[in-house]
Amino acid sequence: MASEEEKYNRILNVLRKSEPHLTDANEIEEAVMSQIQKKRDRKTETHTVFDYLFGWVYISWIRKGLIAASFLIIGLFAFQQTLILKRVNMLERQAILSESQFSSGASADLQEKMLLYKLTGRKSIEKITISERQLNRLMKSYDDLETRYRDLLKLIEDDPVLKQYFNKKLSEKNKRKFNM
Amino acid sequence: MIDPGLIEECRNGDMRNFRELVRETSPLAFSAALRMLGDEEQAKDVVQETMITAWEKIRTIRSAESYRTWVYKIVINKCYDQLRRMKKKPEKRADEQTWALISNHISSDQPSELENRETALIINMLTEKLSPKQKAVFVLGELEEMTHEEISSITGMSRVNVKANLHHARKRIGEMIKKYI
Repeated sequence: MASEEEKYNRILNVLRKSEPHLTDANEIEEAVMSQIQKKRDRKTETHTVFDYLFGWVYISWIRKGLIAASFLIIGLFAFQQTLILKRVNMLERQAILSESQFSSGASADLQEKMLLYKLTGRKSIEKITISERQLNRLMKSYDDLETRYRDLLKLIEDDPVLKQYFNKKLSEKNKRKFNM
Repeated sequence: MIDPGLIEECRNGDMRNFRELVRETSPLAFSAALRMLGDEEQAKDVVQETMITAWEKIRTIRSAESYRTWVYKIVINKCYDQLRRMKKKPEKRADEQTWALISNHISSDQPSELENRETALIINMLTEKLSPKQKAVFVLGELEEMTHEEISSITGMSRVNVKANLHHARKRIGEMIKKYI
């Protein structure tokens, strides 16, 4: 029985003797050369563009500096353009907002208020035209107001502290009116 | 032996004969890669990547003499990357057949030369418990028969580390041999 070390050495000898053979060396060679060619082509394309733009400069570091400067200017231009576009968009949105305030929700509210104002008779307007829908809305808001008023009164009646505070404020107000 | 004149030409920027250099360098790169990875296809990929890196950076080497070490350095680094990627895949366990194959070879007085597939299989089985660094030291020192100094400049390890890693590799492989053969 061979010792462990002997076995180790025998295995090593077998492995050393059996050096791996590259069977398809030509294939690898072709693959390497084609990849190198592709890389070269890619390099040449970029070089051609830069040569076309900066071919008139013969000093290498000036040419590199000019390329860097042109990239910087293009970058700055793009940044400025996006900034301007953003601001224009913001301004447009603002205009739409203010227009909509006038034309939609706010004006409807205003109309209702005007109608209520007219109906209370504080303004002397001869003739008021009112649609059925507007009348219904008016009745509904009147009911709402009445319910809220009742709820408020109940709340004040139920709470003695609040009632006291409310009476105090009411008397103060009356007093001020009287003084005036 | 790679023609130093050829290396010198490429190093000076004359890449017209780079194809010739690929032809001369590929076998040694393939040998190290196959012994490191234990897979023919992956070894061929490493050879390709190595030669492309060589094309890109050959001008940076100091002299034609250092070319061989430099190529090994690239191969070993590419193999490390590959081994790191392979680590995520489940390991193949040593089977009876492979151990029987190893036993046959070491018991015969005149062992025959192994095929690439067999070499890869045996190295895989023997080195499955080794870390990539230990594997590199074992392949370069024991199979490619390099000096500690050469291994040190290829792997970037100190000579003491090379010795220690080689010692651990031998010990672990010895344990495998004791266990299975």
